[in-house]
Amino acid sequence: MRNKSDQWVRPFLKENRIGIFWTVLFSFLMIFSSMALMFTSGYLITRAAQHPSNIMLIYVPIVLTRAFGIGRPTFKYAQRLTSHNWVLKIVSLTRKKLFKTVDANSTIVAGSHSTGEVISLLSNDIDQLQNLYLRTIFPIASGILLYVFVTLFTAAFSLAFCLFWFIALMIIAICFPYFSWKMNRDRIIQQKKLADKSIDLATDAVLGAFDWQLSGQQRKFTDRKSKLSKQLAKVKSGGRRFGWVRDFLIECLLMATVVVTLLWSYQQFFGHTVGIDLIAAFVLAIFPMSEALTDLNRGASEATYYKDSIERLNSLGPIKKQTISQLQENLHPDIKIDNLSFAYDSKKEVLKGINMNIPFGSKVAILGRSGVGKSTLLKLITGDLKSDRGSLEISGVEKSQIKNSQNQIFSILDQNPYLFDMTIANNLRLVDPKADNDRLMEVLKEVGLGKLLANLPDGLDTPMREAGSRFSGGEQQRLSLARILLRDTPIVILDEPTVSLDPLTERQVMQTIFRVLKNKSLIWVTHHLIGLENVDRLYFIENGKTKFSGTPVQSKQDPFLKKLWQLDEI
Amino acid sequence: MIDKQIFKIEGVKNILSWLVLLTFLQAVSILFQAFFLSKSIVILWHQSAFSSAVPYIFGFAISLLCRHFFSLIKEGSANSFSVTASEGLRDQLLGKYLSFGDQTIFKTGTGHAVSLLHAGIDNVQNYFQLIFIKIIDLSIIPWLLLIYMFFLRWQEALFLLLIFPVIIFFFVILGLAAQKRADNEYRNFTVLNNRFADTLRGMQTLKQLGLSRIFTKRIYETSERYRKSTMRSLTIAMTSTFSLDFFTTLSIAVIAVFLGFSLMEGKMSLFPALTLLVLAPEYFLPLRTFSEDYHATLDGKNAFTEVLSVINQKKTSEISALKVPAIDSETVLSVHNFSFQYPDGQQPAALKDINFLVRGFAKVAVVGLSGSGKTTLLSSLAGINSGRGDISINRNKFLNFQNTSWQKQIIYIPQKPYIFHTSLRENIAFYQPDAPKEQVVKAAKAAGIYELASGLFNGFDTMIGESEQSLSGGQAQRIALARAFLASDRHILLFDEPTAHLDIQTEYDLKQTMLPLLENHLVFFATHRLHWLKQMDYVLVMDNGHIIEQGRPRELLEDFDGKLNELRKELTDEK
Repeated sequence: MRNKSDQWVRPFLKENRIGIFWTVLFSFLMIFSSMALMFTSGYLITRAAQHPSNIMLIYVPIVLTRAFGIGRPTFKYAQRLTSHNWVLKIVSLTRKKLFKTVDANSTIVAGSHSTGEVISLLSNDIDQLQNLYLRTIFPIASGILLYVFVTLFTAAFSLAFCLFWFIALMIIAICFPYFSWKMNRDRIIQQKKLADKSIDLATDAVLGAFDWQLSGQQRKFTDRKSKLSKQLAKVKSGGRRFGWVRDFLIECLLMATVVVTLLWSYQQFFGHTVGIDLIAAFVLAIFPMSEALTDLNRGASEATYYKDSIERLNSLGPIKKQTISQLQENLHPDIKIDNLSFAYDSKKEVLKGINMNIPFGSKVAILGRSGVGKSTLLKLITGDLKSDRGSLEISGVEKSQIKNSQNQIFSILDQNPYLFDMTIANNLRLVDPKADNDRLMEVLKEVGLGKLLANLPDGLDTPMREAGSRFSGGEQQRLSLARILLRDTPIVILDEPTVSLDPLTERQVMQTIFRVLKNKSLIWVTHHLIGLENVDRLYFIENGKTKFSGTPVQSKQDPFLKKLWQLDEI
Repeated sequence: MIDKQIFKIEGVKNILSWLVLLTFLQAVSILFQAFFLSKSIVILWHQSAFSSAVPYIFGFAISLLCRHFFSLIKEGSANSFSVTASEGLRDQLLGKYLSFGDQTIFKTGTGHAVSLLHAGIDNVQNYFQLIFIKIIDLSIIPWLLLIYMFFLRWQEALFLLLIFPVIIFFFVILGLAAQKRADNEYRNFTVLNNRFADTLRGMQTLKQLGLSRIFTKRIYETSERYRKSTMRSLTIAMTSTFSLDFFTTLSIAVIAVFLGFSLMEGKMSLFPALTLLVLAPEYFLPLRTFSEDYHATLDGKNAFTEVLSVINQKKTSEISALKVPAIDSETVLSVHNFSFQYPDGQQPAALKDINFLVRGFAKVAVVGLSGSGKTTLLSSLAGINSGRGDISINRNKFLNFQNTSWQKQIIYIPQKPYIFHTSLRENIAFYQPDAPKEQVVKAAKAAGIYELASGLFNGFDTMIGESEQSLSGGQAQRIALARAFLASDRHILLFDEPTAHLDIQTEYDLKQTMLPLLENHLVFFATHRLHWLKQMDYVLVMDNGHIIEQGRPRELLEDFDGKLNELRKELTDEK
């Protein structure tokens, strides 16, 4: 938070300072009103006790007392509304920025963490930041404003009195918060660490419940968990106790200010008929300050909570610039990969000298163990990654333009294509807003959903429900395939699309895919041999190298692949 | 506001009486604080010598310190109680989760169960911390102050007494109105929230479809609509706190003005007036803090109710302690008329009239299409599901497999074995926590993860599991196999499609690893990969919860029109 290069809190505070101004002003006015209420009413009754001859003499304090009495709740209401509105506005803006950043930095080929997961995690961080503003930044800002106000106000009476308040509030509003923040820092970090561990154990308990039952060692686990929970509770109690003791000390200091104020005002106004009434006014006005000052301190000690959220967001880095270049119509690209190598870091090469030739309209399959570099290869082909060793050419597209025009060249069908919670028609129209109902029906028939659709009473307007859950896994893949047909890109990448389907459905879906995409290039990453008879060429990758490349018929003769083919026989 | 169950917690009576005593002392301190402060001001105001005020100022300081000191003690005592009580609940809840692996406990989702154990109990702790102090404060402090105020001047005291129910009345009425409004907005919230989650989950797809710009706009718009909707409901929801605040502060102003007039007319002296003015905010303070923490306590109360409902949930089945003989090469296991139905009763019976008989260390394949009941049969054999039938093991009769001594002989390896958040070594030694290092290494070698272990940063002591070192499906399977290799005293192996989601090369390699493990074990092996049949002695062909064919694999495959051959044709696309 105190980092100068911060991109996620400072810029928003700066750009939206008007909202902060009102929020802080209102919360200051709220404290001010409650102090002023006690001040005027203290003055009012001591003045009245002098039995002034004219009621008009206490008329002004009476009006003010009522005004401040109404002022406090009104400003509080206004403050709560403006602050929440401001924070929610910031959340919208931060989210927008988050999406732009992640979008620019992410790849179209799904990595080990899906973009959605990354974003969900960071969205939680953004939600965390709401409390940073509401519980830490605003109370500190309005507390400091109070500090300035009290110092200036007392300066109007006497310099010595002003100096006293300057120092007293310096202790309560600056030193205390600083030490609270410092002393709680390690505790909060430890608390977060223990809390993470305790969530881990809770997950182990729930997801591993049955394993524990079989092992007959529940006892041991319960002991471990309860030891950890007790440790965590101890750290938390420590934090709370620290807060209570601190608040107690603040009250003690405020008590000292009350005593000093009594002494000072007595000396200041001694012999002064009207002035002497200010004793009660000054003293009573001190008490409402304690709420604002304790809030300020609490906010400061919690500041560390938001540290890792802010760090995580900042680690995203700046938004990368993207431009979209237009490609020629009816592109029929051939892909030629020549001696392509790639390494994420200099020590470990993921791909070593890959050769591939994918003329337009051909179908290739890429096989290999998980983690062998299949995804990396796909990322290189789609332009998500770049390599300077070896060459990769897509005819008709400038090498530097592959990334920018990837969405016009490639469609991807992976294992979790997402169907949005809208109607079937709207899900399909996402990719082609101009398609009319006849065109949609045509595409759906092509992917083998004609019959299903005819049986739906609402037809194309049937809602998908959450994540397309109305439909079975196979149907969902077919619907996604329909979207791909509507997009009509020359190359389609199939990234293990049938992993979560049962073998029978898998076979049927793959048959449909090969039928409807026969005029396109297909790059199919798969983890087993079902349906491989349909491809023109298959590549088996091991240790970053092509271990086998050839037609399916040739592969059955290969001594190594033969063993694997045998697994599918009986 | 307060759940009656709370009074059943151990030690609650002690803490309550202790808090009542402290609160009483605190209220007395508040009275003295007001008394001494007013006295000091009055003396100074009369311009008497400062020294005559000193004892009163001293008295003020002492009573203020006492008041906040009592508050400190109260929070501290409430804290030790709330920690002990809520940690007790946490242990009970955990015990319930682990007691018999009954999955119906997790019917609201495993994520929810985890968060109940973690955040839920924290809310309960917070609830315990707040509820006693707030309620006792509210029921002692204002009334003690009020009694004193009646002695000072009954008119103002009466006003304060009468305004109290009015404030509560408006707070409740406006609160209810706001609740109604909030309920209306809540539907809006849910829609928007779901929309947000929907877009989040579909990010990868949107990116692939080239729709990034549209979704950024969509998120912003959803977020802004969410803000507007929230603000609409907050504007209403906050009126109830506003009314409370409004009436309390205005009452103080009104009292001040009343007192001013009475003083002007000479009906009273300064001291009682000042004391009344000092006490008025103190009179309302407990009510105000109570309303501020109202929502926090409500969350805590709901969590408390939920925790109790899980803890008090009746077991749907009982783990039997009847002794099952140890399985050896001579054991005869017969299952007769075994059926199982899911507890909600809505689905049709998941297993119907299962009959089979196996002898000794048989290797039994369970085959069928998805949804045929393979997994249900396996989990019934493991005792996850209860079910009912006539089961005999060497003439000992049982109703089902939920039996501790049966389960202690089992190793169950599902499609995706759960890997615990702990070291690789502890994960392997899960069934044998005291196994010496050499044996763990031996098991790791046998399961083919020794290379993985030696490649890790900390070798066998590397932490694995979700947020740690990530593992592929094949590696998780191998760890589960290593557990089995190490637990040589468990002679029943249950595999539920262990290679279904693995790539073919890993499947091939794992098969070589698994084959030696199958020896000298009673094996039940659910799969749709029929190549395993070559290694099996017996096969159960399942469809729709029934066993539709059973026998020796080779014999069944020779019957050209048999069910196994029918399945084979379906799976291998042979026309």
